[in-house]
Amino acid sequence: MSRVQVVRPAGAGHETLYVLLVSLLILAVAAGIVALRGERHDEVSIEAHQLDARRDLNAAEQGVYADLRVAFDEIQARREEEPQLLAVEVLAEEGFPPFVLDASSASRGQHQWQLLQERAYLGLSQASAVAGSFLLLVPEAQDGAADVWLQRSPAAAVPADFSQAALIAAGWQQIAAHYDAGVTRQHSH
Amino acid sequence: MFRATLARRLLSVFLACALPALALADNGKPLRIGITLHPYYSYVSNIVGDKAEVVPLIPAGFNPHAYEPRAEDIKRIGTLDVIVLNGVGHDDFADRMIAASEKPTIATIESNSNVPLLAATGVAARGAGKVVNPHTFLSISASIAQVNNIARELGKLDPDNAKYYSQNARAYAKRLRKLRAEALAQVTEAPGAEFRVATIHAAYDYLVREFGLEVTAVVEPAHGIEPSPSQLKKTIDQLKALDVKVIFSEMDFPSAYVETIQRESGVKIYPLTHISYGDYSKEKYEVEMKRNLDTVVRAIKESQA
Repeated sequence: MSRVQVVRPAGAGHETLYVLLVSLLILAVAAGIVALRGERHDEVSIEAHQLDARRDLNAAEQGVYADLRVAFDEIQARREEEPQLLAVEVLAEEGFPPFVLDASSASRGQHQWQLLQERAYLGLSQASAVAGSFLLLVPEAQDGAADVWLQRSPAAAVPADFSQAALIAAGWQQIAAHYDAGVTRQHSH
Repeated sequence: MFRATLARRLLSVFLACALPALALADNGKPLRIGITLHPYYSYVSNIVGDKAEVVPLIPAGFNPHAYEPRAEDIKRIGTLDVIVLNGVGHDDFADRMIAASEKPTIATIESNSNVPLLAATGVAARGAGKVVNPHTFLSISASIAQVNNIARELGKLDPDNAKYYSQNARAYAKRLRKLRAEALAQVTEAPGAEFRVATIHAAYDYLVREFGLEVTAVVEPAHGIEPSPSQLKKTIDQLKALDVKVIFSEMDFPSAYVETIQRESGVKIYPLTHISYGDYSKEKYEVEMKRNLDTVVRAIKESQA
């Protein structure tokens, strides 16, 4: 004669609950530590009329922009000797990209450069699908920073006014470049 | 008694005269400038000429990608006046070395602070798009921007030679510009959008950008790690799908899998150098960069032939 013995689990429901509670506790403690000790890395935000040099420009535009800033260094250095801005032809003759015509300028939009009123260099793109038109505003101060604007519309033209409001109204966007020493470094600089 | 007082007076007069002279000698002594990578040795040597001493932080023969600081290298920082950094990911070891050195607050120059940076590609791109491509030294334009920047900052530390540094920087920049112009002059027909390039190591974006090109794919699964056969197959399929015409590989890491890719995909492979190996020299950057530019020109020309 067999006797059926039912063996009930020793409170499996409770065990599950305890495990769940402990996991929640661990999660809460971990979240608390992260919240208290974590470092904030705030993104550098850019204005609505600006483009981020790293994310918003295509390869051709990034190349022209980088070259333009190097040429700007030389333009500023020469102003110490000669107050007038360097002519586009001189910059091209001395081999300064993006002013010089070569295979690189040909594949980056064939910009046609001109100096405007001793204040700005304008490069109108001949292939706006490849790269937009560039405007480099030279500051009054000899140690001022380069101010570069971009317009992707094929209708880009000589701006009548170099004020920020007028440029924005005419469809230009300012290129903003920021330096972050890289998230791979231990100390922020 | 009287004699002792006289002697003390004489001594104090002597010290009063000698101390300012000693201080001057300290200020007037040439700067000792630390650098972390080979291209920066060339940049700084060309900027300072014989007016300062350029000291590599890590001895020749170490791979900067896998370098672990050694005690004697950290000790050397104590003898330096300033350290020129890449600062965007290629010399992260320098921060740790400086912190552990006798001069944890030593002046540093962030060479890339004025350079428009590109986002990292390939495996290095992890990190929510915040990681930048640190190989700015593989571009002539970004190098000139760094040379100008370093010269400006060194001029602030050593105002007596500021003019000399900026003149040298401009002369060096002119030579570098010429290298690029000579390379581009050989490319009579600009490569079109169908000329797609891939690289083994995600280093050459800045370089190919000077030719108006963009890197379509990066083959390497992780730095210095060879892909498994299944990864290799995926890569070859990817290269075929993307219709890549040319792969730029690493001259310093010759590898059998690169040949497999060439054989299986039919894509031509051209080796470029990272300028991170061998002895430090003033001319190294120009010599190796010329070779890189010539290689890219050759790749473009042979694809058009």
